[in-house]
Amino acid sequence: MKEKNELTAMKPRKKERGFNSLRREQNIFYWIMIVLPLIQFVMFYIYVNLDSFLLAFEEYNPISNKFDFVYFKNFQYIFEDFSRPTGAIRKAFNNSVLAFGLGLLMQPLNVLIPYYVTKKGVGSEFFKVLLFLPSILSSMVLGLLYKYMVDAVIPGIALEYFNKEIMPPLYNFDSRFMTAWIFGAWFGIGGNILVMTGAMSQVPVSCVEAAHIDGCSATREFFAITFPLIYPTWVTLFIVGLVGMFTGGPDLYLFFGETSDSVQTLGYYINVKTLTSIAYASYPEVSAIGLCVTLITTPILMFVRWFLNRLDPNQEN
Amino acid sequence: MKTVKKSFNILFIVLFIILAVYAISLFVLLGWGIIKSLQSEMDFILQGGKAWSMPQDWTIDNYLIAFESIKYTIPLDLGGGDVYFDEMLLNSVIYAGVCTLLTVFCDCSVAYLTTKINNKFNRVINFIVYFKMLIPLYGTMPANIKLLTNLGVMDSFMGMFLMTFCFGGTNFLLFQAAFKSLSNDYIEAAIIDGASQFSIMFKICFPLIRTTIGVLFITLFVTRWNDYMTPLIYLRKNPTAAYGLHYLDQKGNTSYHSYIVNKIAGFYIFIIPTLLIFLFAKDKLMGNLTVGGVKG
Repeated sequence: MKEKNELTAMKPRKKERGFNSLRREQNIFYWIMIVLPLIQFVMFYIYVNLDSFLLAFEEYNPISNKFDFVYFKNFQYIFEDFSRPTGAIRKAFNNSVLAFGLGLLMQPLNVLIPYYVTKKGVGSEFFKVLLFLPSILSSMVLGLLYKYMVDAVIPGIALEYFNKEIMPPLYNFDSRFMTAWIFGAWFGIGGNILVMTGAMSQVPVSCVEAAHIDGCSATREFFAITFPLIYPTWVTLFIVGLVGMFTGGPDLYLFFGETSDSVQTLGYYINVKTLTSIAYASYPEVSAIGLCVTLITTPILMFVRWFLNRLDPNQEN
Repeated sequence: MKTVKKSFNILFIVLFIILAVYAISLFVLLGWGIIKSLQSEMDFILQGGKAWSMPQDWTIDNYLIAFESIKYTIPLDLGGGDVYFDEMLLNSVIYAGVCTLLTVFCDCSVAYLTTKINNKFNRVINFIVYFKMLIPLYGTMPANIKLLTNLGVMDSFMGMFLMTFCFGGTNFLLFQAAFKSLSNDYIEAAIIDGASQFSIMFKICFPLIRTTIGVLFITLFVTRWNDYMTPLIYLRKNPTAAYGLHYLDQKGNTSYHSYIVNKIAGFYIFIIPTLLIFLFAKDKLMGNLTVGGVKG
C-alpha cells in the first residue's frame, strides 16, 4: 500500500517528461545500442556470406593476387572428384554420412541415460557430474590422453602380456576412424544431459504417479509418458545434430592434425584445405563445397523437421 | 501400489552397467594421466617408455618444467618468435575472457532491446536470429579470413573481438526468455523515478537477470578456454594454451618419448582454471536448462 502511494506520488514526474519525450529517448537509446551489433552482423554475416557465395564461382590468380570469375569450374571439379571412387571429397562425404549414421546408434543412450538420472537411479547424482565433466575438462585434453593411452598402452600390454603385436589403433588405417569416433561418442554421451534432464524434470508428477498406481513399470513409463512429453526437446536436439551432419563428426584434427588421409570427413576436409591453402588458392574450392553442403543440408533439414513434427505423439488429429 | 524403486527393471540395470563402465573409463584415463604427469622424465625413458608401468621415481618437477618445455614457435611469415606456456595461458585468459564478455554483452543487450523496448525493428532482429539458426551456411571460413586480412586484424585479438561481438543462437534466446519473464513494473517504476534508459538497462534489468548472465558467461568462457580450433585459424600470432598444447602434440616433438610427461603435466595445469570454476559454480552450471519445451 505504502509502495503504491509512493508510486502515485511520483507520477507527475512522468508527466513532466511526457510520453513523446520518453518515446524519443527510448528510440535514441535503442538505435545507439543496436547500431554496433548491426554493423557487425552486416560485416561478418551478410558480407561474409555474399563473398563466400561469389568465391564459389571464382579462382585465385597468384600473379595478379586477385580472384577471376570462372563460372562453374569449382563445382565441376567437385562433381568430377565425387564421381571417382577414390575422390577425396567423395570419401570425406561418405565418412561424414557414416559418422552421422553411427551417431544415430547413440540416440537411444542419449535419451535413456538422462531418464536414468531423472528417475534417480543408483548413483545418478554422481553420474550426472561425471557425464558433464568432459564439457568442463576440455575434450582436447581428454582426447590427447586417450590418444596416448590407446596408442601406447594397448599395444604395449598386448605385447608384454599376450605376446601379440598390435598396431596402435590410431595409426592403423583400418581402425583409426572408428577409434576416433568411439572417443567422441563415448565421452559425448553426456553432451545433452542438462537439457534432457531439464525437460524430463518438467514431466507432471501427477501423471507419473497415476501410472505407477496402475502398475506401470519404469520402461513402460519411459515409452508411454516421458519420451512423448519430451519429444519436442528431443526433436530440437536432433535437428541441431543434423545441422552438423556434414561438418561435425569425430574430431579428426585433434588426433591426426593435417594427416588424417583417407578417414577425413567433410568438415575436416574444409578446415584442412583452408589451413593449408597457399595464399588464397584453395578458398574458392572450400566456398564451393560449403555452398553445395548448404544446398544439400537445407532441404534435408526442412524435410526431417516436417517429418518428425508429423510423428509427434502429442499431435492432435 | 508399486513404488518407483520397485519398478526399476532390467533397463535400469543395463543403464547402470553402461554408466559404471563410463565412470571407470573416465577415471582410468584421468588417473593414468595424473600418474604419468608425476613420473620423472628419466624414469619414463629408462622404463623404455612403457606407458602402462608404475613410476619408480615420483616427482612434481614436470609441472614446473611444463612452463619451460611447452613452447610454440610463431611462423616466420607472421613475425617469428617463441611463446611459452605462461604467455599462452595469459592469451587464453584474454581470448576466453574478453571474447566471452563481448558476446554475452551483445546477446544480452540486444535481447533486452527486443523484449523491453517496443520498436518495429525488433521483428527484423528476431527474423535474423531465427534465420541464422534454421538455415546453416557452410564454408564461410575463407571469406571470414579474407575480410579479417583486408581489415588488417587477421591473427590478432582485435580480429577475434570483432568476430565475437555478435548476437544470436541459443544464448540469445535464453536471454530473451529471461527478460520476458522479468516484470515491466521495474522499468515503469524506474521511468517514474526519472531513471535514464541507460540506467534502466544496466542498473536495474541486467542485475535482475545476473544468474542467467553468470551461467551463460561461465559456460561460454569454458567452451572458449577449451577451444583450440578457432585460435588455430584466427589467432596464430597469439596462441592460446589449448592451441599451444595441441600444436605441441602435433608438431612440437615427433617422438613419443619426447616430453610426454611434461605435456601431460601441461594438460593438468591447463584444466585447473575450468575445474575450479566447475567446483565453485557446480550448482548453478548443473541447473536445469530447457530447450524446445515439454508437452503438458
